Amino acid sequence: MVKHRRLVNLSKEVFAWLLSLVILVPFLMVLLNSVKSVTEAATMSLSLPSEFLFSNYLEVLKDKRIYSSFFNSLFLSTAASLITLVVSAMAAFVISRNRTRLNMVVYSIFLLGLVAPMNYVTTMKVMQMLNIINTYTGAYLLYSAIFIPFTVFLYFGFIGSIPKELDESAVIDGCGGGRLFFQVIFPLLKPVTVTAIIINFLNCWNDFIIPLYFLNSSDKWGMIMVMYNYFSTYISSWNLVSAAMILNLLPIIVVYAIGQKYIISGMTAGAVKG
Amino acid sequence: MYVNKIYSKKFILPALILFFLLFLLPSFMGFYYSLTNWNSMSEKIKFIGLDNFKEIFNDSGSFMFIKNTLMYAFFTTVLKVAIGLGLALMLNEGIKTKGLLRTIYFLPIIISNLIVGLMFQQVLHPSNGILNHALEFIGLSFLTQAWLEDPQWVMWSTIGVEVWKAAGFVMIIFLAGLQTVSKETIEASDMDGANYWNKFTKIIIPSIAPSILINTLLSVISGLKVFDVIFALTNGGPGRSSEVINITIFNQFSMGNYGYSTALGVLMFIFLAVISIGIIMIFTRKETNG
Repeated sequence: MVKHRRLVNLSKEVFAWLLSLVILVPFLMVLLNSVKSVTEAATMSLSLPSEFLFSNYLEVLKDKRIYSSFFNSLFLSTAASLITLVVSAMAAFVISRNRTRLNMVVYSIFLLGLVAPMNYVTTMKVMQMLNIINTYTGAYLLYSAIFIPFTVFLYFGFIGSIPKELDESAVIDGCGGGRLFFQVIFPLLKPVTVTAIIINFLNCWNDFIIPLYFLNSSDKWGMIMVMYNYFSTYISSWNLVSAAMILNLLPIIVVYAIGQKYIISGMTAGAVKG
Repeated sequence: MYVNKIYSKKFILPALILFFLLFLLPSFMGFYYSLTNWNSMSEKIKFIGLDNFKEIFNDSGSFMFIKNTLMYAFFTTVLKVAIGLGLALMLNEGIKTKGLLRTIYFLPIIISNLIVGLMFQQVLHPSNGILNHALEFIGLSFLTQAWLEDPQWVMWSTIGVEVWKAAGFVMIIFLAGLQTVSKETIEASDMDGANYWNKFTKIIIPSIAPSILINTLLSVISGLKVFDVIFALTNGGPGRSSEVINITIFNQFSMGNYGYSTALGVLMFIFLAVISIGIIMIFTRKETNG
């Protein structure tokens, strides 16, 4: 019986690894194509290149836009995720601690943002009226507006598990609302804060819909948009396109490797509680 | 009084103002502008009643993108939930390298859809792509297709790519849900000689009902809203055969037909609201009936 179970588990393990190839092989293909010659890359196969042409990467890196777009992405993603987390944590704190009817209505309005589709055309109109269309300010404020519902939801669930007695003793010690939040509560929210930063950062980094609609000047584009532009220019050189894809994947994979635990816990916490 | 002073409403304002101005307000405005002829050609915006909606429903192309959107949302949801549950059950117990496998299965969800799209343009290439090569290699060459060029197949290909991308996410939520299945109940049923099917339908499924609901809901919502996967794979082509509602909205926006585009956005809003409420009602009724 025990032996039988061990055999079942072993075959399950082998099967699971074979299945993982479905995920891994496309990445491997891109990696191989990125060091092939133009003609070899055109076959898109998994065969090893006859010669490893790392020069493809140098060719891609010659394009100066890659560097500026990296910093554009970094700036936009950082600004958007920081603004989102501060305003969302503050709002979730007050709503969770003081559950008046009005506050709960506000909370459900935030949750509406998880389901409702964004209206791009009228958003453009509002951004024109506010004079922030085609600017960084407009872009990161818009990202924040989009990320706020999920982030408030994440914080709301977590703040409920922090004992309210803590607030009371801090207030008795003479803490005001602002100090109570920023010096006592906010440090305790660190796990959610890390999760929220990573998820929002990645979402912003990966997004290309907002620049497509609202950021027309190419000097403001992030890495993903520049890669898309690169693809349209070098459409027949899959080796260069693949090298550009790998360069784009690198920062994402690094963030994933560092923050995997937080990404997974954040996404499941949100989903399971909901 | 003490409560209202410490937990000041001012704390909610920054988030609420930002969300209101750049998300809610545009949605409300959409209802008005969908009734106008707003476009990039003329300065004046004229109220035209339900003309945009009439035009949408009289256009034979609309049937196509509505059908595609519903088909995409339905089949990605069914496949993602089924495959995600299968993966979760497989990884849940008895596998030593569970952590590493979970990391791999989850990986595609954090990759930009644009990269995924370009990657699968290569994988699904009719003559050189590795999918057709693999099919030929295992002797199934009759199954090879022009995955992204054949109007008959293109929607299924985009559905397949979405499942490839997001099944790992569904799996993660199911894995968390499976931790709530009581070990004692499973052991007791083992002693009573229950087979796997019985355990699955009578114990596991009811325990993870909340995860099934949330996965279904999230998949349907993201399926109806799909834009970037299809934009990067086919941009709605060949012709309009893989066009979904958000692609149409973008195309109409690019052509400067703002009123028409907004009307489509309003339709989508109504779609999503009705379907989400419907799903929640179906599931909650099931739960209360036991």
